[in-house]
Amino acid sequence: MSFVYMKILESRPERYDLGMGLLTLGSLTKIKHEIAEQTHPGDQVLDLGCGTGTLAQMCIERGAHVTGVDANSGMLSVAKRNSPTANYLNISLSNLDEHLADESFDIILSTLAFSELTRAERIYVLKQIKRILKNDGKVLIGDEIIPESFFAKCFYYAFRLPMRLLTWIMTQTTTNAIPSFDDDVREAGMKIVNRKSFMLGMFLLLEIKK
Amino acid sequence: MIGWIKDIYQTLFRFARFPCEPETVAVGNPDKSSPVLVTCNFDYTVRHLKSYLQKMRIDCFLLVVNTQGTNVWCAAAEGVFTTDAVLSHLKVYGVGELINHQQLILPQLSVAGIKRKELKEHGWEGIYGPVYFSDLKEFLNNGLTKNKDMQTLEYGYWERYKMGLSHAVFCTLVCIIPIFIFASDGWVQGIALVWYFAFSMQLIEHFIPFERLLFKGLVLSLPILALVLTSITDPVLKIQASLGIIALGGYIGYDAQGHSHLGQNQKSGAIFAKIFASLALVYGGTLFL
Repeated sequence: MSFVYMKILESRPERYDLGMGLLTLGSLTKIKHEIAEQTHPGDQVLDLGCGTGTLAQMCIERGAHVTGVDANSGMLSVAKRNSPTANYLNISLSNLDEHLADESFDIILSTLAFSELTRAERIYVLKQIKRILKNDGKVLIGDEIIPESFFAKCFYYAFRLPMRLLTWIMTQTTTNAIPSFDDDVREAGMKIVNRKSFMLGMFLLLEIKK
Repeated sequence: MIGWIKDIYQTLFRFARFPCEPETVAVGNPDKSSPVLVTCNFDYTVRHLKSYLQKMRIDCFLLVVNTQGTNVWCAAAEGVFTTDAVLSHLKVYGVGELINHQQLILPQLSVAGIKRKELKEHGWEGIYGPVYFSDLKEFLNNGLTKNKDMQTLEYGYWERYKMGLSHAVFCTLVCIIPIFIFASDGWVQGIALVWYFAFSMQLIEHFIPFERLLFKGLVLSLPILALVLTSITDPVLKIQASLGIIALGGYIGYDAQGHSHLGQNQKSGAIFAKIFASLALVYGGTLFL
């Protein structure tokens, strides 16, 4: 790999929010605000794939206690600057079983983390979420999906691909739309109780319960 | 897609990532005592490794771990092919249920990322296999022991040629806009220069008596400079062309660190920046002439 390019890659976490904001045309920020509004003072919140910690900080400002999980240590370094009062775990999402107790969180959040996982990993993590979540708790997942309707699908491929390329040039990362998230949730033994679409159905905010 | 077409574009654009689906796959007819091989999910590696295992009739389980499409060595160095990634894979795909032993055969070049001690803490025994998978059959037949050849990394001319090709394509993409901005009349010569530097940095760099690849790139610019200085008559153009050649040689030489494992530990960023700042300053001065 190009050495200069590797140096650019090393600075990726600092540019992550900018790139993702561009990729989602602001939808990600809206999704994060909607998620944060559902947290309350004293809530035990788990942010899976917390990245640069922007959502964690929004929840902390509303009085929640947040634990952020991310496998990328570079991202966590930025998160610790953005949201210094949150707790952090530098582990991959598949290793939650070794670090988090049963029924220990009121709300489990995730934005653009599931689209980085394979289907087997998604189902495994969802099963772990079911174990960690309190019985009356909820899961809020904001992620990219492939739209179902024909026109939305055409728009998706015409618009998203060049945007993804541009974002990749800026941040050397991108998202991979999830083809069938409903099936994954069902297979993990949970149910979707609410859903809201963003950007013509390309992004989805799901509320999931046990 | 036909394998050789994939091979060509995955070699040309090697700097990009080519992921295949992470999986645990049974090759041949493995049973519970069969070896478990671990690799990355760089499509090029996985296709060739599977083909080799089938050809050699090696019955085994192959764990294609998610390294985001990066090859074993780069992924290990980048912190993507790690103990954590392997442990995650073992858990998600229930590998422990497929076998009656705890041995994992790891690529030797994953040593920077996968730690045997950490695997052992989780009940797995990691064994580093040979550098090249073409030695796997002999390694398995020899009771998981390696001879000296199996531990030796070679950087022959074929490998250097492939790396030169990939580096030339990458540098062309990086340099094409500056070339059109600063030397639109000589863009063909500009691109030819990029390819000269990229290939020379791989094929003959070991004959140049400098340790730093940045300096090797600058040395490679000398014959081109001599050619330009004797063939261009306009003094301003002569200076500008010389600056462009030095800049290209310096950049491609410096950048070759990531395209050659011979110079992986070099850090000459400060010198690189000073050289480029000086060149830009002098170039700015020529605009007033």
